Amino acid sequence: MPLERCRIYLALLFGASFIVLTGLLGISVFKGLIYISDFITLLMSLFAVYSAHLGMIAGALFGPTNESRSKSLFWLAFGMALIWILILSARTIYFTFAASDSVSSLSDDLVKVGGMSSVLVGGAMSYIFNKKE
Amino acid sequence: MLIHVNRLSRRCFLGACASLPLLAESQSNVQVLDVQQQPLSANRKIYQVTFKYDFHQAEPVKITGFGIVPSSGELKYSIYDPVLEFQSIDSKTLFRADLTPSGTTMGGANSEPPAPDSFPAATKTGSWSWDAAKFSVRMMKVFGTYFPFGIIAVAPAAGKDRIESTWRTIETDDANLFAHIAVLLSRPDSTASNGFQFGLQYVAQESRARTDPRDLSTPAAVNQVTKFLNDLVADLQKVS
Repeated sequence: MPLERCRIYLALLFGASFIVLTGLLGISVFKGLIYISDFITLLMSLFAVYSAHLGMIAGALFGPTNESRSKSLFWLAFGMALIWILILSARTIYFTFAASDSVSSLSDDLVKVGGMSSVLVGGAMSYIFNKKE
Repeated sequence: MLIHVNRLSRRCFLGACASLPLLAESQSNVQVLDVQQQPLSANRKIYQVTFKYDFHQAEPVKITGFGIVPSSGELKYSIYDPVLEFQSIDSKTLFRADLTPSGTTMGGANSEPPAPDSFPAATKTGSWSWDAAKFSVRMMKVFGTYFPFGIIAVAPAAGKDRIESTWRTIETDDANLFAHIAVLLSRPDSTASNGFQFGLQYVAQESRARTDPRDLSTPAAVNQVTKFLNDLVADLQKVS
């Protein structure tokens, strides 16, 4: 699979999920569950969690464009990233729609799930973008 | 726990009394029904005490830290120091007991009172046109309605008896916005005469459904706090 396409798929996955999660937090503001200042705090936490992966994808833009990667390995990496994003989304959806929750609890959990990313996402992404043919 | 004392006999039930009371000449009958210790944050504790008393006299008596009360009654409130002391109006000790807790209760965040010195100096005032003992009865009734987590008798300061409330959550027109308020009521500690001014200091915060409390700023919450305080003062001024 061309590396160019790998980048696009992963950028879409991370970019789209970031927008969806931001939207979910926006719903919390719209419903009056949190203050705008909390929204900004949570957005910063979310951005911090995503920054390593988005940075890796952005960094790859400056890398070689004519390489290719194993299709099966790419989809394995994509699947692992998807699992991580689903965990993150499940926690954020719970925050938005559950009967009770708290900003501090969500913020703590974002940090914990962010830590899981080094297992689920970091290694695979690193392989995809740093592998030398 | 039950401590039952009168002039002729002194009995301590369940081993819960730590020291013998001092009795003055008037006939006294004090039953401490329960003392529960409640740990607070920052190494603070309060003791919720429930007791009945009857001094068989016409004139009111004074409970140190609480204020002037009728000569007989039943009260339940919290104190920072586990001591129960009754005095006559002329400050003679009628009864005193160091209290030992019979149990410990764990209160939720809502039941923890603010530190007494955290109340701002700004005071809302009200007036009482009758005797001080009757005010105590009225205050207990009104505070019992407005502050379901109870009240605390704070050490007197600057010649005033002080009663502190626990936090009370107030709903607003916005279902996800809540105001929180605690008050500190002060009144002259040396008068049983008719009529005096009482003061209410208060701390107020607000929170949304998913957030921790913060300073009051949203107009809907400010309005509810203002209405709550006005209603509280109006109710305190009424005769029950």
